[in-house]
Amino acid sequence: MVNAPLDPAQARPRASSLSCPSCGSAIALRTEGWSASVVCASCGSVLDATDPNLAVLQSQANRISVEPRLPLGSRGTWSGATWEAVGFQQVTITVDDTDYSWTEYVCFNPYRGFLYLSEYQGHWNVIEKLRRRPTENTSGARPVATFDGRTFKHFQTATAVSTFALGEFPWELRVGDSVIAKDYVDPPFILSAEASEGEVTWSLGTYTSSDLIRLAFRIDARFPSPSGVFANQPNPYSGLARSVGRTLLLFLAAFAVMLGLNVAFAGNTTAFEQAYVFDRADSTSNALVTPTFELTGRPSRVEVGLLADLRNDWVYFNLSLINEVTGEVRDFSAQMSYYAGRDSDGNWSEGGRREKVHLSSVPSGRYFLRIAPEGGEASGVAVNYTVTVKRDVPSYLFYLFAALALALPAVLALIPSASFEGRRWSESDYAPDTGSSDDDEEE
Amino acid sequence: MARLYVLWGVAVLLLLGTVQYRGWSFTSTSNSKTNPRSVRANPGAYRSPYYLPGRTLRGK
Repeated sequence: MVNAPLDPAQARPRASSLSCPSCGSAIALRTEGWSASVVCASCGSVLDATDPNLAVLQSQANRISVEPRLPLGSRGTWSGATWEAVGFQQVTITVDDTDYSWTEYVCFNPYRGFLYLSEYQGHWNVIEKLRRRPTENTSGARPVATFDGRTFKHFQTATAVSTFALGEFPWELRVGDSVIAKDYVDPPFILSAEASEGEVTWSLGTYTSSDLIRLAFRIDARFPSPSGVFANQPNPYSGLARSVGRTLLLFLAAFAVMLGLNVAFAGNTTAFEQAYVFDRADSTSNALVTPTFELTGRPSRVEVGLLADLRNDWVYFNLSLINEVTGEVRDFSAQMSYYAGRDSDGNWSEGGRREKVHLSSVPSGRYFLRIAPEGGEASGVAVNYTVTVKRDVPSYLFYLFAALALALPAVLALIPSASFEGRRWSESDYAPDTGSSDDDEEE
Repeated sequence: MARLYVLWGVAVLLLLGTVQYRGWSFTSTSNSKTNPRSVRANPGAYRSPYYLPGRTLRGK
């Protein structure tokens, strides 16, 4: 008779009962033949699960008591298979004299082997041991590890000590044993290397919602909400930052095209140019009108430029652009000053000899300028100046404002994401205030 | 939020295009109607509506 192959999803672990040689309490071995050690729930002694007599490996090892959120023996469905929680331990690292503890669950399926869950302050990971070793590159300022095409950044290296244990474990566990734990992250994944006595075990964890774990194992009580940001917790704002960043690039491309077209196709033609003299001694030069000039095309910007040969002097120009036909007047002004000299620090100068005024949306037509210069130093000599009128001149100031208007929301959208990453890495060996603490590796 | 940013960016670029095409400027001008002939005849007599005597007595 040929047995039909068992469906791994339906396979359930079975338990066999023994008694603790230390305290006599019943020990239920759920992973007989698979586990290497088992911790008595009554006296906390670590027993040799490979020994039919359950030899004591460590007597009354537990010094503290920790209640697992997933009771040992509870079963849940994960990745299409049924898993039973068979082991539980608390692991503690000490950083800057502060203890940080997380808990780990050993789950078993006779056809799949072992699966591990970890929890730290409400953050859960589903962890699988790796059969292939990731590639580590420690040459840079921040080591990285690559696995399955993903690059993981080094997060933390610390000495992890098993501080409490309960149930069965596929390795020979001792409470108080320590390993050098090195974590690399690429959210939602975390690569962990645990080194002990020349042996390195790699595992890959996936950040998982506590609700999924609770539902999978059919736990009625609510788990605590996650506190803080965990090493491989996905950044909830990264999607927004990426989306806005991509959109910003598109906008900047359109912006560059608009700028290029504007520069290429703006008329920027000179409609009028003439030189004049402002002689303070000659009152006839104090106010004048220019010959008529033609402004053509659609209503567009007009630039009135002034260039004067000022030297330690200043002049204020009252200007009017007057439509010869309609009589419409646009009054505006420009002040220029230029001072220069030499002192103990060397040559100096301030002000300028050139000034430009942009007039908004000037319709086509025949125009002339009224120019009335005034002011200046009492001892000033005559000022030669040139007036230039240009039509359809691009204004780059608007491009600057537009660039800021486009970039500002993108920067604001980056802040939550950057803040989240800052909180993540503040818990790492690369926290800004502590810097890289490579010394931890040697602890 | 991302959709709002798209709308915002499109509005900014449309406004920028309009500003450049229409030739808008930040310069404040005082617009009025006057008689070009009288200005031509005596340019020194014309005073802009916001003319304030003595306001230009500035310098270093």
